[in-house]
Amino acid sequence: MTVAATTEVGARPSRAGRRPSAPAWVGTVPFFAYVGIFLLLPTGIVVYNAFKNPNGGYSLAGLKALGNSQIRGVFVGSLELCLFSSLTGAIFGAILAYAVASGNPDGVVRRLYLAVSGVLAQFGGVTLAFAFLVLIGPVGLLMHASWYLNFPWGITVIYAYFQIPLMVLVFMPAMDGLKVQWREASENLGASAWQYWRHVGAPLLAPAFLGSALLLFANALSAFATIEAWENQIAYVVPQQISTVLNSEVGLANVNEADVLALGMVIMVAIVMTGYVLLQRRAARWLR
Amino acid sequence: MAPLASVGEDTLLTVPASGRRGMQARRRRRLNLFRYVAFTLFGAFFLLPFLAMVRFSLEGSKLGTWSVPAWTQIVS
Repeated sequence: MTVAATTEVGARPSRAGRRPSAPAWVGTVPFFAYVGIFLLLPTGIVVYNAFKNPNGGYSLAGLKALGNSQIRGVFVGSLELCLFSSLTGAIFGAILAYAVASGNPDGVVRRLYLAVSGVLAQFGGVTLAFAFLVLIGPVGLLMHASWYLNFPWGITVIYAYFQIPLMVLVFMPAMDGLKVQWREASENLGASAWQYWRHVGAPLLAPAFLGSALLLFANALSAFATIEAWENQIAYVVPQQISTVLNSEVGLANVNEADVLALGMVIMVAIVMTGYVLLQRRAARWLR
Repeated sequence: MAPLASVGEDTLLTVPASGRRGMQARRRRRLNLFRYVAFTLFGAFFLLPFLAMVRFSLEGSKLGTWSVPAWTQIVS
């Protein structure tokens, strides 16, 4: 009986009609197709139309709208809301992440809070705005918060409802990366809890914290349905202004102006996400 | 070299029972108190809007009364 070549160590199994092997990059085609269709193409259309005027020609006149005081005001409003909601979400989310991470890693509490965070991070829109309206609005069941309709305080509290869970999800790996031995070593050297956090914990967590805060910033920047349900008569932020420009009731709809506003948002998000990527690379050094 | 453990895991070094008293026990108690307070406050923040929505959906025509027509109308 002859011994087949397949019994030799390291020999490839012999099969009649071997399939041709595809190059490794073929596996990335679905991903890049998805990114191309849903990210690059819409962005390209926005940038292209931002440099067109209503007559169909090309000009930079549309960009001059960015200098308009009303347009500047909505960009400032977006920056304010994103800053306050991202800071609120980052600080409270980090506290909650520490509370969850410092318990039993296989415990019910951790699994419950992570599962609930996964759901609540995506909870928003009309439902969320209505829930807070019913809770603390003008006829709220819990209380009537006089600041509820003040921008940006009322809407910041509402945004915190999905910003905090998002922070828990993205910051948890960094929190899990804090080794118990580092705390023990600092205690053995006589450090207090404050000294540990001031000189060890905070510097280690800072890049991940800032990167997560930037992610929350971008998340708040793109939110529309929640603030539109909260107050739809006044455009406080850029997405609302885009909606106003697109849906004029007196025939003054200007699609090109909407594209210019969207271009401004794309630039803001690009800056924020570049910072996020750089900070995540820095933070990843300690998580290996 | 002992493998490193993360925040939630017990230290892999064996510690005699008497070593867990004193500073470690105090720290554990403070940490547990912090966790209880944090989970209570955050739990209330996340639950209250839902409860308010449910209560509002069961509100009758007069404030403070209860009724279920809002729910029965969904299936009617």
